[in-house]
Amino acid sequence: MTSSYLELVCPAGTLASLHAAIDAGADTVYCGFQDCTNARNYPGLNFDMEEMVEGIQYAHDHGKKVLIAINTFPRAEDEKPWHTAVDKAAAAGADAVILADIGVLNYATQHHPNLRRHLSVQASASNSLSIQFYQKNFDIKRVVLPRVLSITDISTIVKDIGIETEVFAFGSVGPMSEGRCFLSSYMTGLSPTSDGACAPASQVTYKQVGNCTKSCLGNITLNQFYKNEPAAYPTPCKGRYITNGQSSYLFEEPIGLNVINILPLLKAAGVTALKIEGRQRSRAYVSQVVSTFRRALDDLAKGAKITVANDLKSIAEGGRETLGAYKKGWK
Amino acid sequence: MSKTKSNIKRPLSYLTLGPILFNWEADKRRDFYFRIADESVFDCVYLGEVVCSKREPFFENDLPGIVDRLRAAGKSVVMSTLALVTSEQEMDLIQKNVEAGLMIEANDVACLQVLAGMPHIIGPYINIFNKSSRDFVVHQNATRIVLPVEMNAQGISVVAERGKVSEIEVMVFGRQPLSVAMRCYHARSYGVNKDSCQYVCGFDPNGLAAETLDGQSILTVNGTQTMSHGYVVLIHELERLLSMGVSHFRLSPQNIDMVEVAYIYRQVLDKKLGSDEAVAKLRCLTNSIPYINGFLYAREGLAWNENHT
Amino acid sequence: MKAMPSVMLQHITEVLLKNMMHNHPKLYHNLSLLDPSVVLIKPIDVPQCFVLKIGGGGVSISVGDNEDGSFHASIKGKLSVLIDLLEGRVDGDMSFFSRDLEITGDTSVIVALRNTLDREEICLLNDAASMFGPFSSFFRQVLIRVKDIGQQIESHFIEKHNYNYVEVPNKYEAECNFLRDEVKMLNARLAKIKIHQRKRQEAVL
Repeated sequence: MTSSYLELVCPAGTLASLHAAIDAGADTVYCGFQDCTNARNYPGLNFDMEEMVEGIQYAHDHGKKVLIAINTFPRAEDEKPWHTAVDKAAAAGADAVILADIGVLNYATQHHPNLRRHLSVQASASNSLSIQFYQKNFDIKRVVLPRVLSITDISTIVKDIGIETEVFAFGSVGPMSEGRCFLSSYMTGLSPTSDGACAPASQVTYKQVGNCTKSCLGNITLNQFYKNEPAAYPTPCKGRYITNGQSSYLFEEPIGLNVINILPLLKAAGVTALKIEGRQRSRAYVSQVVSTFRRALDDLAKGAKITVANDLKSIAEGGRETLGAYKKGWK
Repeated sequence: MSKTKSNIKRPLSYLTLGPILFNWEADKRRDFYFRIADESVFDCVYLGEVVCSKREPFFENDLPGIVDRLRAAGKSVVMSTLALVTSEQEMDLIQKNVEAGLMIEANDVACLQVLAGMPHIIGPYINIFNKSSRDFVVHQNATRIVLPVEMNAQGISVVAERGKVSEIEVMVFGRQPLSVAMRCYHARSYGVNKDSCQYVCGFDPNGLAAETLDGQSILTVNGTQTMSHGYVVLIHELERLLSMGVSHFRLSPQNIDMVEVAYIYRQVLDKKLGSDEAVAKLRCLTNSIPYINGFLYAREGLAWNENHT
Repeated sequence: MKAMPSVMLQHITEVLLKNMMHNHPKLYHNLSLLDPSVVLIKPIDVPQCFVLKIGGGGVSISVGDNEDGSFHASIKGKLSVLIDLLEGRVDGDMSFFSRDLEITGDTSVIVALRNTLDREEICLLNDAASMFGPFSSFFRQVLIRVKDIGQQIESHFIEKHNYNYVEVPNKYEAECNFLRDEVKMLNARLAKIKIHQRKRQEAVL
């Protein structure tokens, strides 16, 4: 474990992104295999076994860690791919696996007791009691906290549980309780729970309608953008809906989370690690975000104020930023 | 002598009334439950607040009376918990309900920590999608598992395998809960936020309709919960589910005559009413709300599979 | 700027693609394995468009004069943005959010293409220079110099432009923020009044 101010955990959708993240100053990277065992199962993304071994070697050579996400829920008909993924992660020398399903957690605990287990945000463990359940039964060493908790909630949980916590620091915000959101499968038949794909691109289309661009998910119209309006990910929770006769971003605006201005508060709350979201984003995104957070964390570690400018707004979803649930009144 | 059809024992089927998910006033709830006790064919009734702990204080005093009336009518009673637990008060409430000795339907894993091996029911908000998870919770003394609404037929047949868990429950009527959150979308729709919500969810006893920009009715907002627009209706599939090992069939209460809805489902399960006729009767009770069954057929949830095979 | 004739552009593009694939064999392999798709790439500041065919065992590109014809997906933007995207200097999603890129059609094709390209470190400069065989390093220097001059001209223009306008956005920004907050507060008050009204109506019924 590094003795940095806060551990910086960064996404790697490809081997090239893993290099970019490590080179930009990540302490840890997280990634997935090329199948539905992880929650970013998108075409052209993720690692085959050869790339995974190479990536882990690169990280270890630089004194950094790699976590492998196996955080979807196996289908009843065939749980084997998830068990195989855990076996592969152990064989590749991963520093930890990030899991959500009770059955997979049990498999990992029984078959690879020495493989560090982290609890994924997909387990939606939003309180001390549920985290303690996973601790007691599967000896999880770290929990990724859902994006619904305020800083006060987080510091209470940290005191109660005594294990490491990882919180989202930057990237897209999913406003629903993770791991049990069926909006995508309601509209497309494909789900983040077992297919690892929320609003997959194969179901998304954009159409020009006059001077607007319409985004559709399956046959459902999600949104309409005028020429200079910022766009959002075409997920059901970022669509525009009409309630009480008024159209609005009912669930969440097209906006990205950025906690760079409240890092000391998170540190004071006892958080161990910051998680940058975005395995589906490019090398350019990873480099820019990771290096900005790296400089900020290094400044804070020296006891100095943050000197790096927060120039991450443009890279955020919708070109706008929020503190999300960390700020009171978000509900 | 060859076995005749009448010799093969038909598995027992139970009708359950899911917890009221909407914000109904205390009087309305109490009258509703008294009628369910006196007139309905439900075998088991779920009580308690699943969506928002702010609603709880308004009806909690009526619960003991409702429990007594239901039990006197021969119905078993289960206390459902919140689906998303975050505060100390919410955790204390779970503790209180467990200590009161009621059978608990656990909708957040926090409950499992409190229950610590006592017999309990796993609710549909805890993800049990496969055999390994099922076996784990059964080992921890889960006596009934209510399957997630997203599960398809193939998944159900694997998890519901006879002899592996005492009871399996599937939701066969009502608006399907699709997600739960901390943020209150009902409040947002009325221009306020959760902390100063004025209980606007009380305006919509069947949930608040949300349409797409094209005017297509697509979702229903209910406090912090988002639901389908259509009602899931699995009348044609009751027999098939029964043969897979499903023992309990949940009707989720909507603001309609649930006594009559239960009667229709019971008649189909007892083979006294055909499926097509039953659906036709049901349509008279549900106004023009579309029916859906997509999840069961591994399709988009909002689809209605006419074929039923 | 005088537009390059299509025939010439076609020839250069084909050779450039051939060099790129030669320099990045894994990229060629990955692109050819994708589902067969046709992608229209339309730089909005150049008269021509590019039709990229990937998957089904091969990769090819052709230059067209118009956007007719059938394709699975299209991507439109300034030439500089498209090149930055190819070389991994900008994030595709960011360009999409800010509307610098427009995407239509089957998004999964674009996502697969983007992810496959992003795995490789592509430098068009190197790939272009290598077109000139033994004179590659000389032409690389020429191309770098040309690119530098182009960037200098562009930043000089931007600076000159900003000088005329730099005061104006700041002047109104504070006022806009104030008005936005006012409107938000008024909306909140109005919402509460409407709710009270409705509750009174329902109590009467």
